Amino acid sequence: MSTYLIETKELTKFFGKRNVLYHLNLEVPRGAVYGFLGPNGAGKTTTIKTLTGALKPTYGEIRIFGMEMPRERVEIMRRVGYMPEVPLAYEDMTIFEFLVYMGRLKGLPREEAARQVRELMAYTGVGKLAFNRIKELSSGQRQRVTFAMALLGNPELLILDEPTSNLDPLGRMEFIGKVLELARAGKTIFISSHIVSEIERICNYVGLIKDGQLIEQGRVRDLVNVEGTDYDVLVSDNEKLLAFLKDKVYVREAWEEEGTLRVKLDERFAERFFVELPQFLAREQLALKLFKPHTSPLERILMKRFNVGWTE
Amino acid sequence: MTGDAGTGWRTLIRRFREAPFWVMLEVELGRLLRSRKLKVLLLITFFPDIVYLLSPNASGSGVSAMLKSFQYLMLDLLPNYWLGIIGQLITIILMSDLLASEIDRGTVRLLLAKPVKLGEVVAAKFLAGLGALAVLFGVPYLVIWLYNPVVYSTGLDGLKNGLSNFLLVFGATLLVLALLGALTMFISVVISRPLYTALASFGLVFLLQYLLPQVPYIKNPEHYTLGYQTVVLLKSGFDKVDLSTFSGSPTHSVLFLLTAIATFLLLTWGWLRKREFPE
Repeated sequence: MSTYLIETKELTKFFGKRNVLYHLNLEVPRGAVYGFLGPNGAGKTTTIKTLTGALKPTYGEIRIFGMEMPRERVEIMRRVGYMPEVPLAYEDMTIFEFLVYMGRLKGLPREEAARQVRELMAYTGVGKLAFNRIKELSSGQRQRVTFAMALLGNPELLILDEPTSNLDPLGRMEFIGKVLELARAGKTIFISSHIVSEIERICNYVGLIKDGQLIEQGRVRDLVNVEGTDYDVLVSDNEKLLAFLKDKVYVREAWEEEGTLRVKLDERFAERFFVELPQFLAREQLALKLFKPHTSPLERILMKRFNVGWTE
Repeated sequence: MTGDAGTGWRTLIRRFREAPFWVMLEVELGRLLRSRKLKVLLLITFFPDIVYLLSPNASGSGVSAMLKSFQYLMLDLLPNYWLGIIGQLITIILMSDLLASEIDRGTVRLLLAKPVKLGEVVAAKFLAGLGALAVLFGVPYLVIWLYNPVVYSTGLDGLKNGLSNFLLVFGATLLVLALLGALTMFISVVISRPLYTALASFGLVFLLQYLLPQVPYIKNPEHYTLGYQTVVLLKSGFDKVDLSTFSGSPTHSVLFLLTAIATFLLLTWGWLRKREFPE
């Protein structure tokens, strides 16, 4: 039995003559929170639509729970919760009616569906809107409803397509907390997004897609070995440090920004910076209060793999 | 033993009511019956009743006169109104929306992401549409059936004797409209847009019934209209009027209609299985 819950082999998709997915070999381990990252139009939603049976592969193979998609779609979907990118729902129904309907289609008896819906509405923050019609909801509220829908029936695998695109910052934070909770509960979560910070906080696995091709995949901690060249530094005397860094061969640019020093290094001599900085701080008896890469590790991977921001 | 059998039946019924097919049928029919569209369409189908209720013009008295009057009335209204252009348009408007709107709005992806077979989707949507049509056309027929004994002072006897005629008209209507509905559903999965489906279906139905038969060498072009075929179906129970000028056997018509309905539903299912839903 494969260790991967979702596995695609050479998954390729054409729309007419246009190739949207190209030999995609996804490997999502059981229990992983897998972030599917890529710019707009990279093929994230097409991949998810193929995983959920809305699109058929032109060629290649999809296996979910070891079963073949789309041939065994009905069996697979008993164990999957799907949250679409656009919060789709039946406009004329109330939230409660809609979710009970979706729960019953998932195979839950009516009473059990109603019980789960009440719980999930409270969990996703739409409990007070239970009898509002879907058409009366804001896009953020709709997104919460579709999140509740995805959780109905306690699925083993969650496929979430851009789940926070319509949420406000607070809603996003709340959502991230809930996904972490679900991950701790042992669910496998496949989440697509183009918001790096979000993926970084939630995911332990990541797949990077660009122009329909998977260009990187694996554990986040294994991938994050790309050195940064841009650092935020805060010491007890910033001016002294700034003066020291001036004219150093490894410093391309250094300036103070809102009380923190931003240091841009020349990649070729960066190592000397890491040797000389601690020596200088010790010599001058300066306290190091903050030292961190200006960009996050995932951002650095993205920048490197997508050739963004590496050339002047 | 009886208790076990009772429990078995109850379990079977409970399982059936929890099956996706039944859930979809129940919810879809509920949504259709609550919709504003259905209320407007009901006003249209009920219109002949209003005229009839205001001026029933009883000709004679007694059960026989009542039945004769009912049959004449239905022979006038069915081909010319309820199953004429207006009735057909109503059916197309209602049925074109069922699957096409799911595809058009993308909600079909929600159904695909559930453990639901496409055959169940097609069957549930079709039967829900047919249920709504049963209300739209059944209510006006029912009112006439209930009102006639009052006009002809036949009381319960009239009600009892008129029941078979009422059921025949109702059944024939549903059978004919089911054919139109199945055809529309097939067109709707091909075209995917409710408005274009309605236009294409109406264009096709109009072409088949009224334009093609005008081609020279087609004998008895009126035979190809749904109204005519309905009257052929009514021949099996309308005994107070002379329908000998309507050639054709009701049994053959029923078989033809059932085969055509099944064919269109299978084509709908096959097309749905084959197609994708990128939007």
